[in-house]
Amino acid sequence: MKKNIQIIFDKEGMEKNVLEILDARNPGEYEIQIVAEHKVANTKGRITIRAVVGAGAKVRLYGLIKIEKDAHGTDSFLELRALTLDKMAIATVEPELEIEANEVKASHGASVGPVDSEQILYMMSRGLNRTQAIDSVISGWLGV
Amino acid sequence: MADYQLGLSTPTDSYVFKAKKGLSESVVREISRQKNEPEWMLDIRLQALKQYESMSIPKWGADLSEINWEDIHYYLKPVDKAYKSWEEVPDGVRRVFDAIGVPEAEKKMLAGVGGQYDSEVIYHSLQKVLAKKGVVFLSMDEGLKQFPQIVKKYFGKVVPYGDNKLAALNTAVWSGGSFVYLPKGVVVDLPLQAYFRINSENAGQFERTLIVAEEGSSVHYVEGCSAPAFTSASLHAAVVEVIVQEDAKVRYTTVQNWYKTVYNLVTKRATVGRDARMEWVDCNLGSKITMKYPSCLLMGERAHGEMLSIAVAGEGQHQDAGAKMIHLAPNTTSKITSKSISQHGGRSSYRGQVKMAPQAIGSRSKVVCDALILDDKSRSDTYPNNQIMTGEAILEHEAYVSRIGEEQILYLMSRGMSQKEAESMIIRGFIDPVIQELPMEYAVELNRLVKMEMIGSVG
Repeated sequence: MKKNIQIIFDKEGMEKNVLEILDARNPGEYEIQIVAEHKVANTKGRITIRAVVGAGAKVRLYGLIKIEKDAHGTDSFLELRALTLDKMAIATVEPELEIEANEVKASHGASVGPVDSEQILYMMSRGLNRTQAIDSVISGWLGV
Repeated sequence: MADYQLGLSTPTDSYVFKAKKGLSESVVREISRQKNEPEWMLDIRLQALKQYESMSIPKWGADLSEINWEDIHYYLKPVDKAYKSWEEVPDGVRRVFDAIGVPEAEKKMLAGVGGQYDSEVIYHSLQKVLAKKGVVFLSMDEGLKQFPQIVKKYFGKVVPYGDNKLAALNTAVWSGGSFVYLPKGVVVDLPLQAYFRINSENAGQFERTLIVAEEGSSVHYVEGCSAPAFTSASLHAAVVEVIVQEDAKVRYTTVQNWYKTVYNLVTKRATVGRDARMEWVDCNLGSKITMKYPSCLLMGERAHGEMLSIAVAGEGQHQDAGAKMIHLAPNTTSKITSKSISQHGGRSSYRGQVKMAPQAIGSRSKVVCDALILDDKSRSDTYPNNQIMTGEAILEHEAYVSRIGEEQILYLMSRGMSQKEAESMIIRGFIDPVIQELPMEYAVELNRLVKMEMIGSVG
């Protein structure tokens, strides 16, 4: 699976929130590339990609925030997160920034990590079985 | 900074030996002959030369197309032998060193001072205490003469000549640099430092540094760089190899202030054993283009790698720097903290990689990149690559690019500071986490250098 997303901010005052969720619990190769281009002044972007990566899955998340010279007052944030469910999960995260204006706020965060075992244990102590516990951690993490 | 003139340059007609411009097999043979090297080293040099010729110039990073490879002296030899004491050093050379403050550094009882004037270490002092402990701190040339077995065992093992074109070039024509050897369990409390300096127009500097820290030893190595003003670009292509054995600890600090025509293309890499620790502290201020990505290969369990860096890019400069952390064993940890400032049309890029192999279970890495852009002509980029090949490791990465906060400035101004003072204070606060890690005299020097770089924008 491969997906390319391009978000162009070309009208002043434009605001966009984007949330992409990638279900990579089955084996295979997955890739999401997202490019946010800020071309004019005073635009705001919030981009989030969340991926759940299972055994035998290989995921690549690429995100680029590009702020051009005239795009003053840009406020842009990019988040790439991968939750790994198995030892045999592979995730590559590449959050990039290219910034040519100075009156801007641009940042990104990226993380890769397994399900918190304490959370699982807590829920199992409350009567959920392991699968149920993992499922609820995942849905909580995805925010859906 | 008033008494420190970057333009200071001593005439260098008195070179004992100056290789012809350009590179060929005969130049490489001549370098090796001049140095009376063992046959195996000449073989490595010649193989590396072949490799160099067959490789292309890296195109993925900064723009290197303006380097005129044919117009470089690949070897300069100003004096016949290295000097043991300051008094023996010739006047002309001494004047340059006086200007950058080597004697002061020595007065401060630093552990050892090696100064590199062009391609040869000509000034070297080593405290008796160190020698008694069995610590070796020599120029690389001298190290090869006195400890050929150790050099042969490790030379080119961390950075093989096939690694990249510049590493191949360095291996073919290397000259000078430091050789540090720490026996098992020896802890050196005071930083070991070497001063590097380019002093001839178009003089290539190809120093080669090898640090071997045996089990349980610990050392802090410091290098400071400064080059005088020239019109045409010169090239600095160093290779640094560090071997950190089990339980050992090495910190390698660089304060780099090449003149604004120098191409600084450096390969630095360390292998880190079980429970060992490697720390790179890197401050890049000068040069036209810097490409430098110090790396740690975390090979043993619980090995730790760390990178702390500052880059300041001004007019016409591109600082393309970063770090690489390769996790190859379980429960290894790494941390990268990168701070950059772009101003007057300069460009600074963070380019880094964190790689966790499938066996790096339970490993953790954290990457933080902060950048300040001070005006609208400048540019800042972040190019991280994080490859996590196991589901049981944790990576965190964050980056933030902004200008100096208006609110912060207003607050400070409301407390009676001028705008320039306020900006200056915020910038100092921004780089403080790295400055704090430097030895005192380097912290002072770097604060001055940053201030000097900021003239015009910050008072």
